Amino acid sequence: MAASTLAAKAAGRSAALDRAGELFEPALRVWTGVVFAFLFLPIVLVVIFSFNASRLVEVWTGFSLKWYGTAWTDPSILDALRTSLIVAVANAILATIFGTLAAIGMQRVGHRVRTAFELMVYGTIVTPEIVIAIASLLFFVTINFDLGIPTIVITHVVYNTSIVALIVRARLIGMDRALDEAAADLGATPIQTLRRITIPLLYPAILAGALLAFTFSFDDFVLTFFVSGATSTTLPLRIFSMLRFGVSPVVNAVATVMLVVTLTSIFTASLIVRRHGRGEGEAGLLLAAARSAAQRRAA
Amino acid sequence: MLLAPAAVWYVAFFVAPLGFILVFSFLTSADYGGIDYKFNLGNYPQLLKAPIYLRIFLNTIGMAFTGTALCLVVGFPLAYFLATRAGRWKNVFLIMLIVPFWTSFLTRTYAWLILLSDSGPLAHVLRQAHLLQGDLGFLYTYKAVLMGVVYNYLPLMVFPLYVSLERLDKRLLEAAKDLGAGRLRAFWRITVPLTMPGILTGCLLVFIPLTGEYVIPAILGGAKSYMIGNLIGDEFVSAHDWAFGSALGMAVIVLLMVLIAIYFRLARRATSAEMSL
Amino acid sequence: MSRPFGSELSRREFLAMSALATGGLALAACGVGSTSTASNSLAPVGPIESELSVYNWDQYLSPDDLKAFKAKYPSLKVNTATYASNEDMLAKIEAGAKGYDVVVPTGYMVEIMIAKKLLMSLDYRQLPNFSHVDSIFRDPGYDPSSKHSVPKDWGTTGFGVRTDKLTLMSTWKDFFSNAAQYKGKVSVLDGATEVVGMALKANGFSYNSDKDAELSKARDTLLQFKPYVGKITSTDYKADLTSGNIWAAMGWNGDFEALTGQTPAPPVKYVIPSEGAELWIDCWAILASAPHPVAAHTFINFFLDPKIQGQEIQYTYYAQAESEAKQYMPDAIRNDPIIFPSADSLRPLETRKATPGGQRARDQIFAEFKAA
Repeated sequence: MAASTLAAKAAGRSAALDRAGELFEPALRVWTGVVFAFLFLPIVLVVIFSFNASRLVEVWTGFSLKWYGTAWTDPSILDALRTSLIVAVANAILATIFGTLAAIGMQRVGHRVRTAFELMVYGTIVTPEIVIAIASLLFFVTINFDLGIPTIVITHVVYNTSIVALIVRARLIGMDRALDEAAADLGATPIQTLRRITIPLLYPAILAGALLAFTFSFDDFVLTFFVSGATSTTLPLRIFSMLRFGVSPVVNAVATVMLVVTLTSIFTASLIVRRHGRGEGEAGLLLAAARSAAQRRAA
Repeated sequence: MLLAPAAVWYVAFFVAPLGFILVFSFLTSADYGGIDYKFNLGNYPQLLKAPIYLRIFLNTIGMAFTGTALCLVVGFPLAYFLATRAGRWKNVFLIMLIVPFWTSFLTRTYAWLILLSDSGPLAHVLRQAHLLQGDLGFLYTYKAVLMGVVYNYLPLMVFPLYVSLERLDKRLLEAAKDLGAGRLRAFWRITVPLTMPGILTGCLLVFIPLTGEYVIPAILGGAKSYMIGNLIGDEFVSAHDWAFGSALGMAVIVLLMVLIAIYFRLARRATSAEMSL
Repeated sequence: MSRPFGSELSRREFLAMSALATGGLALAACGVGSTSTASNSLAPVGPIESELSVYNWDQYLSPDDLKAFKAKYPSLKVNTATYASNEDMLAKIEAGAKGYDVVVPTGYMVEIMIAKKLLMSLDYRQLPNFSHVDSIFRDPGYDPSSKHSVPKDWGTTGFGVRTDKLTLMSTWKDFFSNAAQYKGKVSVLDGATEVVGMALKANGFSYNSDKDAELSKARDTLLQFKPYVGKITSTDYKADLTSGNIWAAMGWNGDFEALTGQTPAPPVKYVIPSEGAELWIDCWAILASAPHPVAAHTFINFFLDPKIQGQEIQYTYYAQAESEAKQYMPDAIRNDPIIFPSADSLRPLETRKATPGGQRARDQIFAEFKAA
């Protein structure tokens, strides 16, 4: 009697779990959809209201492109946009290079050096932005370094290098050391290993890091406010000063344009990349070679 | 050496400037801003004198903690989907994830201001559907701050999670299923431990900057949300008290470093458990 | 925009203000051209430089007028950068930021910057249009003999109310004590001096009081008020009042004037409370470190032209310091009581006079208020 109730209970429970398991796939998809909807909701609002003839968001008075015209003819906005892009790209390149190298390097050094380095990496993230902003301003003034695009890039790179380093490192941890060894066995120099094995395998993390670095730089306000010069206003600074009368349709127009431009360039880029494929093939071959070599040795 | 470029950069443009702040924290503020080069140990004790500083700090940590937890809960399924189910569209999804963040933080946050307003579109729709009477009551509350936080920090959580999940060998999960483990069991005993580096990185990347966040609370949280970031900013800019602001800044940095050290000690135990798999 | 300078309006100042306000003849008591030009050793005026950087509040300079200036001096490249408060600007300049020429500090900030030697003595040979500035503005308390600044515009700080949601108040006392009615829909400016000052006024004290007992009472008023406060902002209240997120807001008269010009205009009434409020003057000044002083003077001189001033007010909605400019303003603006308040309402206003001790006390109280 007891056994059959137990069995029945177990059967019932696994049946329930199965049902729950069946919901898993659709639930996952729904959740993803919900999150993306959440992320794009304000964006949709921004795009819609960039076409609103009225200056106010409370009323819709008709479709109009006039704000785009205003944005286009306002040199300060275009200047700010250009500055933002230059800064963000420069920062992304530098931060990705430094951060990736640092992540790889951290795995290879001794405990002491690593801890000291880690201290700096975490230090840059831990420090409140306002503190580093003022500190950097004082620093540049003291060494008589003129404020401008270089100072903005320099300070952004400090923070973003750490971001890239941490993301790449997350991927690196536990990565198959066998690959490195196999490559060495087959006579590759450390640089070759780096170029043709490690970095291609780290590719998703590096891309993720670069994207984040670009975004944070493009979007940054506090740091930029303090270290920008008289002639180097970025888009966030420009927008902030325009917000006193509420969300400005001109700002919405600029945001929409940015959206369209970036989306088109991303899609074109991905089409190009798809044609050329990626270098994971090499790593796979190497792994296979290493494994067969190991098998032969064991035989 | 590989660490050299980053290390040089850090020392020149982070450690050196921070040195200024450290020095300032031991000096006196000049009237209306700036620094008087007068040695003064009183800035640090001042932190402990009035309870409001400790209260603000604890509020901030609480908000950061809750925000991070929410990001993890919201972001993990998303990262899982991206890493395991998205297939060829992986990169597309990743980029779609970050595209909203190219429209300027302020624009987005002020858009939320409109969306969440009592006379905004969301309230309007809910009222039409008879799901709401009167005010939405969301804006200028703690809830609004948390929502804004999750909105703006999600990529910082999702990217490391994704990177870690993507590396997960699916064959391990298949093996587990073959051996009779249920989905949930496989998740807890395999997926989570193996993606722990990603989880830890994500939590760290969100929690730490979140403690210094002050713009989101200022815009969406109104008068009820005063975080340590607001306080430090105000001390430097509004109150012109550079010395005290510096002391506050240094104190926050030190306290957070301590928290991180503890975090890592605990995390090391978690990841070493993974190694024994 | 944080505010002013000086101290209690003297009888002379008050009369002059009201004369300006009622659009009557400006008191010519002091006569014209009484500018005792500052420096003894003036460098010879050189050729105009090729670049100029103006560091200003946002939307505080008409784009059309700026275009007209650029058209007049086509070889001059003009950069504009913006800030949202006097303190932001001071923080950057103090930390040593260079490259800016013209700044727009409020009176009390002019005084602070003079004390810190951050401003250049003006060369009045390059500012002939200064002769149009009303005599009352020529020798302000914050900048004796106008050595370092010229007035840009002036205004008041009071509060505005959504008359469709709340019954209109007329005193600071009511503004603070009616808090329970607001249900969290009231905002105050993000400025220690304004907020503490208004609380002082509500208790019947001077805006610039330094007395511990009085400041303590102001503190109590504020802490009682805090639970009902929705937002502390100097930038968002216009949008908030329009959308109904906020029903009552402390703010500056020009902003409320701008609200009336919106379509549709929200039913907001601006009040100068009977206890008084703050009267402020924003000024043009040139930084001591300015790399392009000649261009800077040229710029300021252009904007001292009464015709330009008459156009500026149609953009900024803040009163100008030149009565001559009135002939270039539309009637609606000239007779607008928000921009040009009546003599009676101006009477109890005070201008700000900061002292280090008083400022520190205010900062402390405000920090407590914010954190409460």
